[in-house]
This record gives sequence, structure tokens and C-alpha cells, in this order.
Amino acid sequence: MSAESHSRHYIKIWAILVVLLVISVIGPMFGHKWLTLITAFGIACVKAYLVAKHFMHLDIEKAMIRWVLITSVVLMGLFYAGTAPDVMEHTGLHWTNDAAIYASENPVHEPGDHHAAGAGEGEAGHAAGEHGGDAHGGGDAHGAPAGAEVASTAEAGSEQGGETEEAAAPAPDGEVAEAAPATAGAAPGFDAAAAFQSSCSTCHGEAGDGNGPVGAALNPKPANFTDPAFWEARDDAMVHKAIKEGGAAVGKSPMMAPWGSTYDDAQIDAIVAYLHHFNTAGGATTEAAGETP
Amino acid sequence: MKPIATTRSASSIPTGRLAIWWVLASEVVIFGGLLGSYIMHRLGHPEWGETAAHTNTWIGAFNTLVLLTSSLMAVLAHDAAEQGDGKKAARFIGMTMLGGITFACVKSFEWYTEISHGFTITLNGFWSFYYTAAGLHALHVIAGTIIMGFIAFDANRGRELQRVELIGIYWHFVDIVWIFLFPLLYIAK
Ligand code: HEC
Repeated sequence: MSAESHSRHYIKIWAILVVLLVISVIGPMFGHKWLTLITAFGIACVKAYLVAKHFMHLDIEKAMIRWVLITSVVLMGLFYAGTAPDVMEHTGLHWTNDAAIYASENPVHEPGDHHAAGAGEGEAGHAAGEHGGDAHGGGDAHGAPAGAEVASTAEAGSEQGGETEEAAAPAPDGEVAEAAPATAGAAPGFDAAAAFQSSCSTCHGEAGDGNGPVGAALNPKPANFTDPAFWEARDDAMVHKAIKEGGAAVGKSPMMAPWGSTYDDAQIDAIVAYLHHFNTAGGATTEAAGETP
Repeated sequence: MKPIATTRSASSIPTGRLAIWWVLASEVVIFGGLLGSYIMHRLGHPEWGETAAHTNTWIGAFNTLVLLTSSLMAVLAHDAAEQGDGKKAARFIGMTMLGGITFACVKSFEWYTEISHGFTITLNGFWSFYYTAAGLHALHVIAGTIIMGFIAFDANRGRELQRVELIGIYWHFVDIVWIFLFPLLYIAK
């Protein structure tokens, strides 16, 4: 081959590679899973082959080199075959991978999800604590001796927390009163109880038992927040997601509408914390569930 | 006189080229282990698909094009070196370097955007693989680009022309790694 035809050959290979690239980008647009996999990985293999053969000249390289490379690839395959079963499965004969199970049940898709996922414990105070500056503010309010020296934004935060503490505690019941400030800390000035009564109680019932006037007619029935089993099966991140993105987003009834455009993340956290009061399990909330309006 | 390492060859493969293949054989295991782990985790975590949807396919595809083109430049440099045309080889290596630099710039822009939107290495398993795999690859791109600077300098003076082929082989390998990273991180969503 002359020098001229050499470079023409290389350019031809390059052109084929570019066409293959275009196909692998277009492939997923049809939305067929198998087509995507083939255009993505099938084509990747073809491209790798073309580069190895025509650019790296592996085809005319000494056989020894090919054996060295094949050995590497085989070792890699052995590693994969030996490890993958334990990683891909989350339970086995005598073991479970709790972290992986938790991760797949509580997926973090977006940076914001972390907030919700962090508010896991099911305590009102916890949800409140998740929100950066406010968490500090709250801490200072109780911790700092006089608060006077802390003349900063943190101070302002705690002041505000303090104010809402009085303002947002309309509940007749000691328990709820204790919770209200905590939720208000997450979303200052926001009254989760009132929001629940106005937005949710028609379906979920004023007592959170799923027997609201509208809810009674629904199938499936709205979630019953007084049922301990409900809370055992979910964590706050999932409840948050259900409220924010609607029932359909968590595989539930689409009758449960998304509220993300009505309430922001902090407010939804506050609502989630409030919902815990309906739970009839767990010491503190037992009486609260009965007495909440 | 040249050092023995560049002249002696028991395998009838030039020593330098034998060495670069050994390097690549170990790279196969390094990248293979990393990508293999990613694949097995990805199969065990279907929920990653949704978070992977935030990677930008167009940026990934553009960078693939950049690397494919720079590979073409590398093989053309090799061609020129074989004909003993050091100056031409140096020019083509320069263009390959340009590809490497473009790739790195696009990558930093991409990461900057992602990180500033909160998609950091600690967000979840997908993003930690994303940054680790693409980061290790980017280090190879940067290292290759730097080494090419030295080789082009020599080649331009007609020296050590055999190295043009060696860096080319390495560069094509880096290209191949990206050929697999692209569908793994950008297309399978
Ligand atoms: C139109 C009636 C309706 C309204 C209004 C409504 N929901 Fe629901 N909600 C439902 C139904 C129905 C379900 C049950 C879905 C299922 O089990 O498939 C549900 C389920 C839920 C769940 C449980 C999701 C899960 O993981 O199972 C939560 C939490 C919830 N709603 C919170 C709220 C909150 C908070 C509000 C007010 C901001 C609200 N809902 C307003 C109908 C409603």
C-alpha cells in the first residue's frame, strides 16, 4: 500500500467509527430496551474491534501480544464471574446485604433527595434538623447560655424559631404543641397541621385514618396514618416522595396527587413530621393520635 | 549508544512496543475491574437508571467524537513516522494533543456543571462510579497528552520516531476505554 492509500484507509475507518457513534446515540431514542442495549454495547464492541485492528494494528502484531491481552481479559472475566453474583443479588443463602436493599428501596436520584433520605428516624425533631441553618439556629436556642453573644444569622434563625414556637402552637394537646415548633423550624411560619386539614383531610380524614369524606369512596383507600404497619413499611424519604411527586411516583394510586408545586421540600418535611402524630404506635404519639382534631 | 532496553529483543518484538503492550495488559485489568464492578452494581441497582438520566449524552457523544478523531491523528502520525517524516509526525501528534486538551476541557466543564447542581461523588453509588471511572480515564488522557508533548518535541527533530507508534498504541487504548465508558455512563439509562 502506498502512503497515500494508507491514510485514506485510516480516514475510512474513522468515518465508519463516526457513523457507528451516531447510531449508538440515536438507538435509545426509539425507547426499546433491547435496541438500546444492542446499539450501545454491540456497537461499542465493534468500535473497539475496529480501533484495535486498524489503529493499533493488533491483527499484524505478534501472536504473543494477543495472548498477553487475552490473558488479561480472561482474568478480568474470572474476577467478574466470581464477584458479580454476590453483588448483583442482595440476599443469599445465609446473608442479606442490608445496605444495598436500603439503597434500592430509598433511591437517591437528585441532590435534593438527600434531605428527605436523611430525615429517616420518624421523629418530628429530626425532620426539622435536616435544614442547614435552621438546625444551627435551633441548637443555639437551647444550647447558648444567653444567645446574646451569638449576634449573627444563626441568632436570627433561632429567634425566628423561637417566635414560631409560640405562634404555631395552636394545638390543644401538649404533644402536638411540642411537635409544631419542630416542624416550624424546618419551614418557618408554616403550619403543617393547618395544611393537612385543608389539603389532605378530605381524603385522609381529619384524624388521618384514611376515612375522609372523599376518601371513603376511593379504591384503593387513602393511606391510614394511624396504622403502625403503614409506618413500619416506609421511611420518611418515601413518604416525602409520595407527597411531593404523587402516589404514581411510588407505585401507588394516582388518586394521591403530587403536591410538589404547592409545598416546597421543607414544608413537605414538616407535613411528614406532622403525619407521624397519627401513628398509634410508639409512646409519645399514642395519645396524640386520639386527640388530634 | 542506545540503552539495552531499547535495542535488545528476545521476542522479536521491539522492546519498547513489548513494554507498552504489557502496560496495556495491566490497564485492561485495572479498567476492566472498575467497569466490571460498575456493571455488577448497576445490574443489582436498577434504581440507578433514573439518576443516570442526569448525565448529558450530547457532551459524552461529543467527547467520543473528539477521542475518535484524535485517534485518527495518532495513527496518521504513526504513518508519517514510518515514512521517516518526523516533522509531519510531530504535527499530527500536535493535533492528537489538541484532541486530548479539548476532551479535558469539555470534561471539566461537564463536571463543573454537574457538581454545581449537587451531583457530587457522594450522592449515590452511580455518581461515585461515574467520577471514579471517568476520572481515572481523564487522568490517562492528561498523562498521554503530556507524554505526547515530549515525543512531538523529539519527533520534530527526527529523533526517536519509534515512540510515535508507542504513544499511539496507548492513545488508542484510552480511546477504547472511553468507547465503553460512553454507553455505560451516558446511554444505559
Ligand atoms: C384526592 C384524595 C387525596 C388527597 C387530597 C390526598 N391524598 Fe394522599 N393518598 C390518597 C390515596 C387514594 C392514597 C393511597 C394510594 C394507594 O395506596 O395506592 C394516598 C396515599 C398517601 C400516602 C401514602 C403513600 C404510600 O407510600 O403508600 C401519603 C404519605 C399521603 N397520601 C399523603 C398525603 C398528603 C400529605 C396530602 C395533603 C397534602 C394528601 N395525601 C392528599 C388520596 C389523597
